[in-house]
Amino acid sequence: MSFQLVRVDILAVFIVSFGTLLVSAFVLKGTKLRQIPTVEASFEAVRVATEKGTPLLFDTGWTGANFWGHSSGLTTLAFVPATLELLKQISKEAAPLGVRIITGTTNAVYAMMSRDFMEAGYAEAGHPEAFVPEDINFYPDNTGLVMSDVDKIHRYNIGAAVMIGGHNQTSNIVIYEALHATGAMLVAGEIWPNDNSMAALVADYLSFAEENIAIGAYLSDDPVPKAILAGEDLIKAFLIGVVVIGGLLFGLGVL
Amino acid sequence: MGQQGDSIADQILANLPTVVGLIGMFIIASLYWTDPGWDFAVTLRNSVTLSLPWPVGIVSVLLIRRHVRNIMRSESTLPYDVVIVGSAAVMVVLGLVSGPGDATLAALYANVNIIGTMSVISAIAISILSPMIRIYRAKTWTMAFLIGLSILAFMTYSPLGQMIHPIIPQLGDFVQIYISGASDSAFWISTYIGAIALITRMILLKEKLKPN
Repeated sequence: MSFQLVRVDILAVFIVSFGTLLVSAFVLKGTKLRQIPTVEASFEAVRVATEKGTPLLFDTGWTGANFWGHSSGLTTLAFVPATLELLKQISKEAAPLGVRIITGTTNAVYAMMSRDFMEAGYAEAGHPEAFVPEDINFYPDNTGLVMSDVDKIHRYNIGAAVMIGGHNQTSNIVIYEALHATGAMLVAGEIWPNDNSMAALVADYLSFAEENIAIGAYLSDDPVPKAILAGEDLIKAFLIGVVVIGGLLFGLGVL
Repeated sequence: MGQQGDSIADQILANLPTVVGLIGMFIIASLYWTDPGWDFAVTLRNSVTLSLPWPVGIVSVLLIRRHVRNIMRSESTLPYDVVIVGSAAVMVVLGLVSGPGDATLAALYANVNIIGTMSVISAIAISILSPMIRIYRAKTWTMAFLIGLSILAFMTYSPLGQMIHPIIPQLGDFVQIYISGASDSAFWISTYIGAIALITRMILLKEKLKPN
């Protein structure tokens, strides 16, 4: 069987983008990042849960990653480490305050990864004993997870929630409804734009996928990840330029 | 965590899950750019994620263990825990005795599953209208604008807008086709670039699949 190279144009864009980002990692060190409101708000949610004396719901749904044979599905795989890094940092914040984190996912692999990241967060905070593995909920389908979330929201009178990940745009309404009933502070950042539309209407703080994917770099003290984020802006500036110039040329009848 | 001065071998061993993940991503991504290759890539990806039995087994045991512990401690959730553990035990025993294709098992699963599905779908049906009057939170001008757009969308795709004035569905269609279409494209472009950036950070071991 012979393999033929296809999608060469996409490959070229990928290689140029990758090269730009790699060079940025070394050239653009020292870049300062603006605050991502959702990340700050996520930590505020921990403090709100502390004041209210309730657990914090950190639901990742299917954590953003989908497995159908489409490039967008592959792209959203990148949200997995980003989402779980936030879970780790929230656990680190929650451990000394004695706040219980209840998390849930519909993917078994992510449930195991959640365990690793939560455990690391509690350990780094110096409170490994506060880690409760049973607070990581795995339900193999969205229905089970939604039902479980609603049950827990009401049973524990959840006072704050962080919904970063992937939740179907219809089923997340049910969870938002339950959170509204308990008066919970809601921080949301859905991965897919159609899912995020409902979050945009009801959440106290909202982030977009592009911000979510940068959470790991934002939370790191390392200058290299921040430099790579700055490199992203260079690529985006170039693309915006292409769109504007292309639009003008098209409008003038040149293209 | 790999420290400064560690050998490359030490770094790889310290970050083995991330390195293995990167190799897997590289193989799958390489297949994306070959023909044939994509179907194999999807099969490979699914076989090491969705179909992998061990994580499902392990986390299911963890889930059941919590309810068993609650039963032993006679927690306030006792009836709920008993139902969960009892149902799981019945399903596991049936599966082990008769195999996963057993008709009784399938019927039981379908009947139990439909209750959950129906209840969630019912809740969704109620919630779709409910948030419009109860949980929309216009805390900023941006959110007020978004709520306005959502009301416009509601009127566009229901007879209500046309009944009020024909320009309403026309305006809604314009927003959907041009504004939403352009913003969706912008979203995916920035997300794709973000994904490449994240992979770049992973290659430099700045993002990890397992914390250490």
